[in-house]
Formats: sequence, structure tokens, C-alpha cells
Amino acid sequence: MKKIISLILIIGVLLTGMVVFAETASEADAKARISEKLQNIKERAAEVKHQLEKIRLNRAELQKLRVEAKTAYQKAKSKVKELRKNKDSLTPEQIEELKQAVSTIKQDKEQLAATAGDIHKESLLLRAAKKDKNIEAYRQSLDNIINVQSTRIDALKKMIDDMNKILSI
Amino acid sequence: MKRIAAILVLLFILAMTLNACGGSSTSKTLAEGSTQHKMDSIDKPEGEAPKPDDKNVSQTTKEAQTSKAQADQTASATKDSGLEVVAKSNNTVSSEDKEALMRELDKELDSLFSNIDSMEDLQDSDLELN
Repeated sequence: MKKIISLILIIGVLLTGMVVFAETASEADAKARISEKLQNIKERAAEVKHQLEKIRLNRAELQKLRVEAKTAYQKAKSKVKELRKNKDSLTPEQIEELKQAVSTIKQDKEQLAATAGDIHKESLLLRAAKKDKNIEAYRQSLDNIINVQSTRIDALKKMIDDMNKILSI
Repeated sequence: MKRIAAILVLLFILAMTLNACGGSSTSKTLAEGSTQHKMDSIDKPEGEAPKPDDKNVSQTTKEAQTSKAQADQTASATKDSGLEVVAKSNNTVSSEDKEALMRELDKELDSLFSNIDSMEDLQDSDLELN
């Protein structure tokens, strides 16, 4: 009888030890998983911060280019006004250059028009991704915004060049 | 005897007629040849060096020079006579066309600027992470 009681006690002690060990192990595992997730989120947040920084820089450059474009536009308008006054003294070369300018300005306009509404569309997607806490969709939207901004920067630089060319006609 | 004399006269008339016809034909051929020569010499560029194996090179060059001199004379004669040649090209653009071109450029510039001005941008809140 004594033997049976001591056997039951030993089994009870062993079982308790096993349960405690298992709980500790799963806790450590969960902690590791959480820490891994946190690390992942931190890395993505760093990437997103980098993208946001790039968007801010592009925004500043676009604003600067807009001001430059406005100045170039005003100068080009004055030049056209002046040429219009003296249109009878225009040489065939000047007329050819003016025709070329019309064609170039039309192309520039089309290039810019191709990006119209893209930023607005992406900003809506961005807000939705933020609301849903969908980091992947958020990052994708930021990338798309950067691409649209880059296209606009190139287009604006070309437009400014083309408008300044009118001044030399 | 009279018969022989008549035949001789006939033969003489025939010979004269043939001679006359032949002479006019020869002079015509010569004239044609001369024109052809002139044409050839005009076709050749002035600065082109004569080929060593061409027998008529010097003659052709001389003819070309003559023809050029004749052309110059004709030109001066035209000037002297008070005639003027007015060369018209298709490059002339009317005042209305110039005005239309200017108007189009002006319109395109306005349209381009309007597009630049209406470019949409992000809101500041979109660039906040939290």
C-alpha cells in the first residue's frame, strides 16, 4: 500500500514539473515571436519613413519648379506679345521656330495631363491602407506617389526649358 | 544632136537639183550637231576636269565658255532692257497666318500653365505616419 502511495506521489510531482516546463517554453516562444514581429514592424516603419522623406523632398522640389515655371510662362507670354506686335518682320526661320514651339508645348501639356489625378487617387488608397493598418498597401501607395512626383519633376523641368527657348526666337 | 543637148541639159538640171537638196540637208545636220555639242557642254559641270581620253574635251570646254558668255550677255541684255525676274517661293506666310500662329502659341502657353497650376498635391496629414 505504501508503495502505491509513493508511486502516485512521484507521478504527481513529475506531471506538475512537466506542465510548468511546457508553460515556460510556450511563453518564451511567444515572446520571441512578438519580438520578431516588432523588429519587422520597426524595419518597415524605417522604410516608410524613408519613403515619406523622399515624398517631402519631391514636394518641395515640385513647389520650387512651379514657381520657376510661372516665371518662364510670364516671360514667354511677353515674348509672344512682342513678336505679335512685329509679326510682319518675322523671318521664315523665326516662323519655323514658332511652329516648333507650338508643337513642343502641346507635347509638354499632354505629358503633364497624363499624371492628372494620380496623386489624388493614391492619397485615397494611402488613407485606406492607414485605416486598415495594411503596411504593404501603405508602402505600395507611397511608392506610386514617388513615381508620379518624379514624372512631374522631369516634365516640369522640360517645360521650363521649352518655354525659355521661346525667349531666344 | 539636139537630142544629146537636151539630155545633157536635163542631166545638168538634175545634178543641180540633187546638189541643192544635198547641200541643205548637210547644213541642217551640221547645225543639229552643233546644238547637240552645246547641250552636252552645258550639261557638264564647270569645274569638272577634262578626261584625257576625250578628244573633244577642249572644244567642249570652249563651247561651254561661249555658251556661258552668251548667257551672261542675255542676262545683261535683260537688265538693260529694264525687265526684272521676280522669284516667288512657297515659304511666304501671310500676315493672317502669322497672327494665327501667334494666337495658337499664346493659347497653348495659357493651357500649359493652367495644367501646371491645377496639379493636385498631397495633404500634410497624408505624410504623417501616425
